[in-house]
Amino acid sequence: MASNKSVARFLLGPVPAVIISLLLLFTLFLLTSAAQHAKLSGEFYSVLLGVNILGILTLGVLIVANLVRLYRQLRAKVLGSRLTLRMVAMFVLLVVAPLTVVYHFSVQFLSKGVDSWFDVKIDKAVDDALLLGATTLEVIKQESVERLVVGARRLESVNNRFEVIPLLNELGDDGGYLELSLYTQEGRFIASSYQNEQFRIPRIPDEQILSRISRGREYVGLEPISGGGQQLRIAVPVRSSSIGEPDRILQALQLLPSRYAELANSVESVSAQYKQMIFFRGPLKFSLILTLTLVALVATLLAVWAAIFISRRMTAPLRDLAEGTRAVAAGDYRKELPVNSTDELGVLVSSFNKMTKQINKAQSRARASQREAENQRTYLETVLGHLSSGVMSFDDNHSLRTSNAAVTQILGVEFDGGLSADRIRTDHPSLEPLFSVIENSMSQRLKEWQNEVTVFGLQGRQVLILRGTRLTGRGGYVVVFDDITDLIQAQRDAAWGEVARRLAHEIKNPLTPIQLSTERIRRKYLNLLPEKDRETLDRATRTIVHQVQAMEEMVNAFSSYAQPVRMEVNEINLNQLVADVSELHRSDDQAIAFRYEFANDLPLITADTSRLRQVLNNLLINAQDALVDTVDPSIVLSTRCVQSDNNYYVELKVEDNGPGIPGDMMDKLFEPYVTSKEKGTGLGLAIVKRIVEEHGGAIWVKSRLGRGTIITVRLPVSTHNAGGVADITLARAITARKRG
Amino acid sequence: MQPEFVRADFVVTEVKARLDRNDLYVSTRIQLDLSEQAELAVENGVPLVVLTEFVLMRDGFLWDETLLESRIRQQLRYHSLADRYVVENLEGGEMNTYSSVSKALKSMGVLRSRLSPLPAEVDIDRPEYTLEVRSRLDINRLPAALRPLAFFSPSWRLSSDWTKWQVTNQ
Repeated sequence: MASNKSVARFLLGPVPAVIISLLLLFTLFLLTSAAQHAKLSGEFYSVLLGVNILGILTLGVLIVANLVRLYRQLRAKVLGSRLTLRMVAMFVLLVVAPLTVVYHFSVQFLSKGVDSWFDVKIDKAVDDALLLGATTLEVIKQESVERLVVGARRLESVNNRFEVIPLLNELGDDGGYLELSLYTQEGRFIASSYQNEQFRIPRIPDEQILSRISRGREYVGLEPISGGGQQLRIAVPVRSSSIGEPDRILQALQLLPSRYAELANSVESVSAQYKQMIFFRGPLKFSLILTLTLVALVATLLAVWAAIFISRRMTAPLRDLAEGTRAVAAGDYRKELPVNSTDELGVLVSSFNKMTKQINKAQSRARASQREAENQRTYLETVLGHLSSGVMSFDDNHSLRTSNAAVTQILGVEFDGGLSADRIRTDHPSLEPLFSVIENSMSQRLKEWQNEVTVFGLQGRQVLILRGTRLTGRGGYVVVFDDITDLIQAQRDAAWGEVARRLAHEIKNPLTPIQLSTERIRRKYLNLLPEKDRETLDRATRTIVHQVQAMEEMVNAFSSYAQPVRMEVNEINLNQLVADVSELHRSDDQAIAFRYEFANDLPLITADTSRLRQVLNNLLINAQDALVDTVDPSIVLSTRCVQSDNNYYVELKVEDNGPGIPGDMMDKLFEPYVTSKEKGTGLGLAIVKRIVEEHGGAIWVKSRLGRGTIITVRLPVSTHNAGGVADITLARAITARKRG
Repeated sequence: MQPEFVRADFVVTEVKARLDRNDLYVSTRIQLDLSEQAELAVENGVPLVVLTEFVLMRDGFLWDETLLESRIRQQLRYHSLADRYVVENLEGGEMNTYSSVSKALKSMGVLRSRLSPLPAEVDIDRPEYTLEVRSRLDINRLPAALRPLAFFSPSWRLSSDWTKWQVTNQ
């Protein structure tokens, strides 16, 4: 395939055309010479003409092939083809137009020139010369006839063959005849006399001579002979002198005297040549015009081919430059164009090559810098990606530019770049506290800020601490935040653990001696005291022992609240658990009406059953306690599945129609030792809140004085069962285990 | 393949070919009719050369074998001073004059010639030979000025077809 292309390229290239052109010019030269020189062989002329026509056809084919190639390039919109076509058209026009004019005038000139060669005066002179020659010859002919007639008379009386021959010899010698022969009237040979052996075979008179003699007239004619000479053929009748003897014919061949022969030849030759010339006038014009046409055709074809070739050569650097420019535009800076000339185009191509080299170098440097920047960026991204802190950057328009993996991990949401903080707030209501802080800080153009916010996301309630910085230089902001939920929990656990340890140490330890001492006083002195004092001591020691036991219970309860607990999680049907736990309370206090409003499609949650049972117990005890003085007490237990910000939760509401909670208690309701009841440790709701938070949930209270209280517990759904709710990962459960 | 001509003005009407010892004796009768253009050229002093070609062939299994090729050229021209048409055999130099062009052409058509030497493989006792004869106007012998026109004009393409004649040995 490649070799075929290279062959085609070679055939359409300059070499074949130049060879054909040179051959054509040479053969044209020879053809012109052959037309002018009659001596050149006719076969040679035929060959030349054939070669010329073949060469012209080949050149024509080459040109057509070149034009077809150009047309295809034009259709394929190859660079430079339009310019080449334009230049070809221009060159062809420039060459063909004057060539046509020259050809036209040359043909006219040739026609008129050839016609002017033939002059009427010359024509007449030649005719006159011929007539003069003929007249002169006529005199010689007449003399020759008269002399032969004399000889014929001598033969009239001689009939005997043996007498005739000597007489013929005598007459022949006397007259200097080449041949002297006697024939019958019918042209049959009788006898002859000749000078040399060449004439041994007699030249029998033709019908014209016989016919003339038969009419009694003489014949004399001039005949050219081999070697350029002339001879006279003279025939006269030989009348018979004897009755009964037939007439005969005496024919003599006589060489024309050399002086006359030369003159006759000259006149004949010139006359013949001039006649030929006149006859050749038409063919000569044709011949010259043919030659001229061939020359013009060759010149035109050569010009057209040269136009194509030159146009190609001239546009080649421009085409290369255009291709090079296109390559540079496409980002290929390694393109180097061939420099084939030292002219302005060559300089241009060299400059282009220099430019591309410099661009390539600059590009390489830029690429290296870019690679370095990419490496640094990758490094930074790797570092940021492995940071446990969420990092977000915003531009001056408060649109999110970048966020690391920790952001998604902490917030459970993957953000698209370009979203504004406002838009994120709208799209993700659960993250509203976080992004409103960020938006506000950016709006105030704070240089640095630090906040702690709580969001309720995929992983439940999360406490985030965030730090923001306004960037100098490129502008924008960077916000770094951490999920300190676990940290706070750990700190709280540690603090309460320390409190519990101290309480045990500082309070619980003295209780045992107090109780032992009280019991000892009671055992030792109760029977010794009088009845009246005995009763007082009994009551006092009993009170001390009871209070010590109460204090012990209180310290134990507080320890259980403060000490971290390892959770045992499993999948729980909350409806079932609520039903089970509430059933115990309902049987204890049948005065209270229990109502259930369970959602049917409630998904399973992952939780510690015993701790969740404790939550329910505490909540139901609180509700029952609140309904002691209520007429028609009732407790409504309802569950439902809610979706917030693509996260799913299970909500449990415990609603009573008790007196409600005073407003001053609402803020510290879930803190330890806050209670409105006469009995109790004050840790119930605190423990509930802690367990709920340990499960990543949230709890809040809505109370209406005199109308009742609604406590809502929201727990995240970490897995999803059937029922039309989205699948949820076990991440929450795993987190919960870790916390446990 | 025989070339096609616009006018086959030359017709080979009769050829007698006889082998005798080492020679081939040929006598022909060829009808030579000139076109108007050619005759006009003769009258204007242009010499015409008529070429008669002979090819002795032996029948072969696949193709015929060429044994001998020979040609006779005769020139016809007009002698204005003598008012005669001169026929000259360019091979032998024999020259005859005629009062009219038709007589001259008739004379030219009658050829008696001995073609020799025959190749050694010719066996005269086995008459299995064919003589092909063609007569044509030799354009290449025309004057230079006339040649281009003669190449392109059908009036000048005067030729007979190739004719085949059996060679005898008696």
